[in-house]
Amino acid sequence: MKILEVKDLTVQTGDGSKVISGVSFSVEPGERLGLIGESGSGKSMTALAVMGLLPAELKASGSLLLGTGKDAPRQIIGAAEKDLNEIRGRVASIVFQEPLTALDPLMKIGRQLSEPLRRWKGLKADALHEAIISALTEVSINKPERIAASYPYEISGGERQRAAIAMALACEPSLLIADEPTTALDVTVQAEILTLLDAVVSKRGMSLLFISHDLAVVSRITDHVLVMKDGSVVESGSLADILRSPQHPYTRDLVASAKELDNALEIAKKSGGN
Amino acid sequence: MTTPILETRNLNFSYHSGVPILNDVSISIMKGQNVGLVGESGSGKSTILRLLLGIHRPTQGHILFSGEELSLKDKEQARRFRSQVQVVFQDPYSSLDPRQRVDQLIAEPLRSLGLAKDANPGSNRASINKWIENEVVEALKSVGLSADSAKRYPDEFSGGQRQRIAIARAIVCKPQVLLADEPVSALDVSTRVRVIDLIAELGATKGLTIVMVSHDLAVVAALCKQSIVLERGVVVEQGATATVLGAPSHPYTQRLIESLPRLPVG
Amino acid sequence: MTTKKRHSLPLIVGCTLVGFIALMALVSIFWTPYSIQDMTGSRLGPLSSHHWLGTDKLGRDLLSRVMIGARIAIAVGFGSVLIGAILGVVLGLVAGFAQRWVDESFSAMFDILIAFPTLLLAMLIVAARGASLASAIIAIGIGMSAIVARLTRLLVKRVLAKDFITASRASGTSWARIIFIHILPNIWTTLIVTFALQFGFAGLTEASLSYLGLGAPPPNASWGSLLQEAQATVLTSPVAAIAPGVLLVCLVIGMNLVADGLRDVADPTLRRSQ
Repeated sequence: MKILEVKDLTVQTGDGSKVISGVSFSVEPGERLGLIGESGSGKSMTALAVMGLLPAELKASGSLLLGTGKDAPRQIIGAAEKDLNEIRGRVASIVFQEPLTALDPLMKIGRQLSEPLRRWKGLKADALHEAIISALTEVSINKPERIAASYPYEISGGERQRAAIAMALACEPSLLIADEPTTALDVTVQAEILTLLDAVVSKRGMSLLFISHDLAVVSRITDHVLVMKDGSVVESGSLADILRSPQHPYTRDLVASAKELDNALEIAKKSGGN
Repeated sequence: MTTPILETRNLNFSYHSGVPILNDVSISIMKGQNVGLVGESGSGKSTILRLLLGIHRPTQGHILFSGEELSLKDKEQARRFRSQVQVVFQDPYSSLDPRQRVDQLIAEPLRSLGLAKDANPGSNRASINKWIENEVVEALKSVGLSADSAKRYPDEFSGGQRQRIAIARAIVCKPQVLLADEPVSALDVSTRVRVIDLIAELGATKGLTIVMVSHDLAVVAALCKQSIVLERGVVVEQGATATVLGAPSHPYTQRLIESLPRLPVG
Repeated sequence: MTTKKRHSLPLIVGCTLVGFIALMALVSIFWTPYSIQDMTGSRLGPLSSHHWLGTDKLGRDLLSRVMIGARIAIAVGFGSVLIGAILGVVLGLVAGFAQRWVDESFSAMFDILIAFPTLLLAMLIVAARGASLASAIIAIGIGMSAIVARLTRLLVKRVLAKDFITASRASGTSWARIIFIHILPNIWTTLIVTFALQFGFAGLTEASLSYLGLGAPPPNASWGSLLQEAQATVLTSPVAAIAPGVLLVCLVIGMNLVADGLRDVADPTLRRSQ
């Protein structure tokens, strides 16, 4: 029973041009899938489509089934907002690239976190407060009390992204979608967040759909990838296969570029190291 | 000991609000030795670039160009300096005036610095314009763009091509130093490598010394023989890129290198 | 530029409306059915083949007076926009370059002037110079300059923050040249839209001033004074009020549509250059 099954997903704008054309893939429970593409490839749109969050002027067609086990698979395309609200957060949730815009700047972190916790778990007062602190601790935030009482602009980018992850995890979803979650972060923070995602996804036995333009980052956290270009999937397979023998010319270009940069690093390290 | 082409001595810088950005930064850039300024956000690396460009003035300390203290009040020195030190910025969408044609954009340094008049003393306007046109076409060809790009507008080009246009503008006056502020960070991965290769090639063929700010160590490794690592406005390590990457001495540098996402081996 | 020539309906309709009024104004320079001093017609006479719009309370041909009114409305529009534009753009440029407390002083100055009622300003100027068309134009122009200056300041600051300005400085270009070749070309399309809007408002303000007796004195035939004269007899002879009123509305709506249309035509370039 797959947690996500996408068949022939097509997303069109008002004047008929296709943002996504004929994309099909699936995610098993506990599987980690990487979605690689550059700007304009449609990767972020795919994430929004899965969550039923496409902007009103875009029309989606095809089939997008989300859910398994205790949540029977539901068709996302064309679903009513009421039905989608029951799925979002509980079956699948999403972490975005820029935590500054993903978090409400006028609400303290604790309060933003309390919303999903209160709604799904029916917690109040002390129990709610404890749940907030424990959620923040789970994402390795030091001094969770201080963070819960702060506004987004008062804390660092890394702490903001951890808070955003905590919010995404609050309702115990089966699938976590991460859309370029580390692109806007410093290199050292990026490494920490990737480690965190790795740990949390493993511990909870969740599935992960990780979207990025960076092959090296994707290889750190997933085993299988889809390569997207101009709205379609051009190649898919295990990371090892894609790196060793990419088939599609675009994938070959992508892998070659990534390898060239990685090699430059390797050569420099080797010639300087002991 | 040869004179460094660009140098800072005990550089301190804060904005008017008083927040200190740079603290006692002393670095030297030798001709022909590409240097990478590495750091994360808040390290002050972009600020150093702007100080080297003369856009800001240091709160304390000195900036030297070819051994001379940089004083842009002196018009002649300013002219010489600007024709020798040029810049490429990070965002290809904000570094080109959308209202100007590509040839006007690229020719601007030639006109503003009076280089056209210098190269053609006593010539009339028509022949000066012809000379400028030739220089612009040559610059476009050096960056891999066709001559007919000249009559088009920036919004007709992709991010990578715009960056090439920005590079053409930077090299048209044949400078000695190219300051580059995260020149490839805003580009797609496959375009990134192509632009890095272009910069490397230009550096070699045109005798340019490249000073590049980057948070991406792989890009620095590909382009710069020397590296300077900055943490919160302080130089924590500097030296040959190979040594900084292969055998880093400062814990911050070590952490930086360990955090780098790498492709799996094999 | 490669702007697809988008035919903007507002622009076409707006230009037609304003064009009609401008034509009327142009013709009035050379010919009107009767001289406005000519009081030969019957008082408050009906529409007839001799007097297409009837006559006013002194027997003067209404059509002729309305045509002269068009001339005045256009003149006021141009004159005040010219003053407002030159004064406003120059002040706005200076403010755009100013920093910290100087900048704040400019902002405060503009805000105070904008808050100051134009009618009050007009009264002050009329007290100093006497009531005349020129006084009205000057008063409206000065009031407008504050709005233009505030907008210009904002636009200039936005352009100054762009890297291409720094690149220009690095190319050795002087600030004077930067203003002419980089700053003004990047702000004029937005300013033109404001000028078009203000043109219409200027006509409206002049009508208010004339209505209050602060505009050009009789036998001036501005639409405002026509409205004022028709006030007493509006129920018995409505044409005398309707004609100038409708034309005034046409001018304002026409200019608003022209402003919308200009924004449509100019916008694609602005949107693209984000």
